[in-house]
Amino acid sequence: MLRRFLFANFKLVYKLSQWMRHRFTSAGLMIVLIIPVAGVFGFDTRATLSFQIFSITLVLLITSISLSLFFRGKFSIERRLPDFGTVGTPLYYSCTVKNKNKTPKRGLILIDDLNSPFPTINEFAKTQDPLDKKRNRIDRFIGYPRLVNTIQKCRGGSIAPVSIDYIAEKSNAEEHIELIPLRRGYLYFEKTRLGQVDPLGLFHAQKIINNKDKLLILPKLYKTPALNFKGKRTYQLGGVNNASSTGDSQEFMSLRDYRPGDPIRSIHWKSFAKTNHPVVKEYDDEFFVRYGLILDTYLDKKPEEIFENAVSIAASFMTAQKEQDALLDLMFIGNNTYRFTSGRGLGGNENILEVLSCIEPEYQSNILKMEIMLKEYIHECSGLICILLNLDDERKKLIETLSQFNIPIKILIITDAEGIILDDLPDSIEANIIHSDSLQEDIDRL
Amino acid sequence: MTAPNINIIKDKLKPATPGLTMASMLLWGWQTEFLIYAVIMGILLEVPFFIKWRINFNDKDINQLADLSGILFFITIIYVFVTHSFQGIYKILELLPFALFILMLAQNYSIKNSIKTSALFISVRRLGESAGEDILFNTNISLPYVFICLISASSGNKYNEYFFISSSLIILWVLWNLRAKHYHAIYWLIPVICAICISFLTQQGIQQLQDNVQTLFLRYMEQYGFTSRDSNKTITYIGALGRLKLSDRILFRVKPNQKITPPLYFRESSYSKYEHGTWRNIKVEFDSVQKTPLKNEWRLNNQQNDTEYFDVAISLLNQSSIIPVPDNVNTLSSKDISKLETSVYGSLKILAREGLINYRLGTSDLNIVEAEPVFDDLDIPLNYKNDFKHVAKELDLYSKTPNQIIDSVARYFNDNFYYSVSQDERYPKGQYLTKFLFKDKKGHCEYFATATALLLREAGIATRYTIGYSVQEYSFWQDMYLVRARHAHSWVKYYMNGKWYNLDTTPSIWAPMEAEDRMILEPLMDLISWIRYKTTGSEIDFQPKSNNWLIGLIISLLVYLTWRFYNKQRINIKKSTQPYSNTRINRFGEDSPLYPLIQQLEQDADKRLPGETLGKWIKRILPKEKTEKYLELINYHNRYRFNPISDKRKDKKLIKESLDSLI
Amino acid sequence: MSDIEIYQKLSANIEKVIQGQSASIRKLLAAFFSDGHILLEDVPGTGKTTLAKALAKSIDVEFQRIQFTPDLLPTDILGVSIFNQRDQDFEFHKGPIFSNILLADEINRASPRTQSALLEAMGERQISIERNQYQLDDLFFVIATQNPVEYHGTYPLPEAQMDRFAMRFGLGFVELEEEIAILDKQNIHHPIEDLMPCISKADVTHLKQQVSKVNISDEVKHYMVNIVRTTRESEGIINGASPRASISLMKAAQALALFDGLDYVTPDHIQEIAIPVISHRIMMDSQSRFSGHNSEQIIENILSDIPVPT
Repeated sequence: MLRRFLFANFKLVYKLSQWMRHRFTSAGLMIVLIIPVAGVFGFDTRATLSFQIFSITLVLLITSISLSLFFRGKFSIERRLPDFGTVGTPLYYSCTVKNKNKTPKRGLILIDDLNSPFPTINEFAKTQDPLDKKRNRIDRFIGYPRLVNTIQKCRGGSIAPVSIDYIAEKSNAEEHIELIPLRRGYLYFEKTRLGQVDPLGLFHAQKIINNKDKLLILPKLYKTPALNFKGKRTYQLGGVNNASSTGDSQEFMSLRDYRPGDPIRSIHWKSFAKTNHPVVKEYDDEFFVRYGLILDTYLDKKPEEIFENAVSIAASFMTAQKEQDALLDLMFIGNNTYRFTSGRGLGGNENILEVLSCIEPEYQSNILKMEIMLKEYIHECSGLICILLNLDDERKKLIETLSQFNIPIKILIITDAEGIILDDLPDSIEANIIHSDSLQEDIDRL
Repeated sequence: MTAPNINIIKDKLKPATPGLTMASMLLWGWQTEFLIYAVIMGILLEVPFFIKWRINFNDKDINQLADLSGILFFITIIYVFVTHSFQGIYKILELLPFALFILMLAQNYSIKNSIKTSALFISVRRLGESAGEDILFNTNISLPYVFICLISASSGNKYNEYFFISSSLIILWVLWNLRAKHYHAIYWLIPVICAICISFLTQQGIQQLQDNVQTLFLRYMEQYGFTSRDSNKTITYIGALGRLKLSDRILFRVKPNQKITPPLYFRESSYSKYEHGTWRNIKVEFDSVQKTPLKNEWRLNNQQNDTEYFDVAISLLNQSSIIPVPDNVNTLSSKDISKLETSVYGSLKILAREGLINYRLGTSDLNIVEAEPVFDDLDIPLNYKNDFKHVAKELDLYSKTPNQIIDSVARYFNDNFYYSVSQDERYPKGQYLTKFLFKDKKGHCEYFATATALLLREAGIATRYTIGYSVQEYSFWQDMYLVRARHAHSWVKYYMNGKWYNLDTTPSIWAPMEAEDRMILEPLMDLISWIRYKTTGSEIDFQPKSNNWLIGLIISLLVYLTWRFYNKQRINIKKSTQPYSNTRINRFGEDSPLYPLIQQLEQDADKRLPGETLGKWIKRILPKEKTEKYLELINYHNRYRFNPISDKRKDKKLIKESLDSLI
Repeated sequence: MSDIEIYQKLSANIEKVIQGQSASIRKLLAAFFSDGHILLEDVPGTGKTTLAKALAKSIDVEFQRIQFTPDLLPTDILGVSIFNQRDQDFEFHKGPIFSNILLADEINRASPRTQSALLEAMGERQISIERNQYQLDDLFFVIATQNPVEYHGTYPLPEAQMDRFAMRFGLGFVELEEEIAILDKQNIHHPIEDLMPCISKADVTHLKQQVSKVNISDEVKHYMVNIVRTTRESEGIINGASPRASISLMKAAQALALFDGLDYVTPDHIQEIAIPVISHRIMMDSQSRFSGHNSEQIIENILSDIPVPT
């Protein structure tokens, strides 16, 4: 009950604090804080003269706000966004502001806004915040810092305001803006605020211009080592599809007699010269090595961070594959079973990365489904990497089942806890623990 | 990737401009008694503007300094509250600049010239590095410090008019540096002037508002009946601004059994020590009076019989109340009262049920025994000593007999003073009696009683300040005397020849003095009063020795810190590195006549960015219609600058011609 | 004809066939007259083939088009020695590369081996087949195209080889009015079929000589090299641009200056052509790439950061 009451107030408090942060300069905020302090101490006009300071600062602030009402003008704004960004890495894009008025404008401030929806009370109840451990008990109970954090994450990034010193009349100005994405997936731009500080320097006048856009943010990528599987390089016939898009290999394996219908260009002229009848080159088939990358999506009650790390690692493997000589199949279970392939001649990591950016964890067990899928797939591949979110009995059983096939398997267990025992896994399996705090180091050790 | 050129708004609090901190500290020192300290502290804080010597504080150092400041301040708060009780809050306000001084020093002498929020707030410290940029950041605390000095200065509560002007000027100084530079100064000046005028009116209004509210409040309280006095202290309205108006509400009714000549004084309590607008006693003891057995009666003097009696009807708010009684009170009878106590100061305290009660007071010829004078009954507060000395000398009281003294004093007040319930002018604390005696010569009964008491004391007669009610309003219809709130009165009791006598010097009617006399003498009296006031020195009544204690601590702290941080790396502020200079390259054409025009345009419109060619820049800052001529000019200029083999004189001439045609 | 007239005639002639692409035509001709090859990177249907044909037709030189497919062999480009039964000898049949203007369409669909055959020839200007050297013509200009969107079944050009192209740019979509005009013009038949030559091969040779005579002051040279050198030190770049980039930049800027009728290069010319000339030569690390940065942005930033001579 108390929480409901608190939550109802949060929205008001949050909106108010956002409004204040957007509209007041830091000097203005300082004045806003001074006013109640001076008011409190000036309450007894006989004891102190603080009420004079109160009246001076209050009137100045009101003047400032009134002056800001004089901001007029017609503007339009266009963004030039890059194709995508990565979590945690600053990305830069540019905004072109068109001054449609007959006078030049000076001292403008551009604040680009990402959509930040306010969660419902149920959504809020489910969220966790890793920083909560460090907060004091009162903050944790009330939950307001956690709410702010949730909204920030949902928004996906923070954009610092940018100043435009001068735009001539009927001209444009292009400004670069930095955005540091906080989460993967799509970020939605809603509107842009164009403002101007009032002459006193305390308050921003503001115009809101609708400006919708969306931007894909890829998961954070790590450097992954080359996939070296001991074991055979099974001859995998690419299949018709693969062959036609990657082409016959250029190695010709053998010569045979010319048959009517063979293209002229495949005639081996030297042999023709020698034998005096046409001989044709035959080409070798492509050898493919195919690895499977399985991403466990059953998160259950584990912290979200674990799933994010797993997705990042999967994405890192997929992008590194571009440079390598094998095909990599990414598989995971969502609403359905999904399989994506990347590798030489198949380009297009962007699609897979988009999928990985938007993937959500599951809260009901799908390990059985995973088992069924893998049992079918395992005949096609030369090696298997499993990224697991936990090592419970279900998963141990899965590993056992997989170990019965004679395929090299690497297991990566993402965890934030200590003390996971790997001993009771079959010997043929290579298992590694990837700890949330030391991701890059643990990956390098693979 | 190297970031593109982003014009991020660096909207952090700017540091104070040179002199601003000093100005606000001076205002603070001037309004409190810390002027010397203010000067020293101000100088220390301003020196870094002129010296490049800096100390490399790291975050841990700053945190420790912040904690240290906090602890010191906490100790000070406790000390002040112990010595001053609730009034101490204003003293603590005055001390605020001391509290943050250490942090300000650290900030101004550090390389970064700022303090991290983690130093100021523990919750931010706990979050550590994972706190977001909106919570953990560097900020310069100079401007907040200026405002803290202003609020502290306001607590000194002197110099009403000057304070408004000086604090306005300082606030405007702060705002001048914060203003948006792209506006012309006039857009700042006019609103600011209007704002200051409006705020002047506002603060007048606030003062007025408080007085009105207070009066209403008093009236509200009095509606509900008789409130008992505090036998240990009474707060006077000496020094209160505005019009003293007590309500018409009837507090109690008196019906004598015989005809009396009004006014009749019903006293409540007496007090000995005056300070700071308050009369107080060291704790007064009450002794129980034995109830006469089998009767609802208490006798103060067993031997005596009553000569007169008064029936009193009163509506009590408190069960335990001090009741107003006439002189020579002897008996008290009532069935509503359960207990009676008396004090050595002549107060009667009853324990009764709340609400309307009736009692009968009997008087006799004898006074009840009242305590002999105590040391405080001759005490004159330090800040008024000289004033009363002066008056006593004037009236030649030292050489008179006690009776003569009484006469002189009574006449003095009667002749030279008149009655007024309004006080219009704010005066510094502890000056109002002076004002009353020498400047205004008008006041309400509290002024008269207080001044009389102190004057008599100066003449060597022990006095006590008495409060009570004046019974004077007879209601024909009710056949009794009505005592209203505005009949509350104070007068003086003096001790002579072993007995206490009453003296009331308040003029009983409004009696304005002859205007002409007043006019001639008044300016002279004002001048004398002003000279005396200036040469008297500190006006603060209560001089605790805590100041020395505090200052000693701060000085030793500073010495310690200086020694400790002297060992840290001293770093000079590096000069900004020279931009990449093309000294080895053959640059030709730097004397092109176009450059002055470019400078002019940059001032009028916008600066050219480093990577912007002249052509691009012109297209950006000018609308399309105007660019053509400029672009042609730029073409000639480019030829002059970048063509290694052209005729330079001809090129220059072309530029000049084109420039002329433009203008 | 004066130099600027040659350029204007050529440009106008091409524009008869392609509307709304004057900036791209200017870049194309800058590369053409500075002996560089270009890589057109654009979505299908924007007129890349038309552009190449228009250029060839305007000068009346030989034009060849090779459609790169996954099974294209080097011999399909360079030529093959065929055994002539009658003469009992091998005859070298020249491949399509032996022409003046070569359009290598969708170059990223062929295997790396085939790609390198073309790229080497572009660099060396001669072919070695079976111990024989065959020189390519003096006027040899390659327009290679690739489709940036399709990834399925493509072999991206190796970064180290991108250096062989003087410029890389795209045509892009045209404005509304121009697109309507295209519909009008192509209603009956494609205007390219009517296009007649307007300048001669000798004119081209002459203009090329004139390009190399355009003056550059020391300051401007310094600026150019500064830009290229900065790419090597920038964050997020594994390999910056080589000195070959500086040379290409200089030559292209000279051509642009000549087109404007000037005999000296200004910093504006350099800024105009810097991105097409340099952006494909720098190699970004994967973190930068996946953070949404691209090489054009990096060059833009460099241009705005480095103080330009004024």
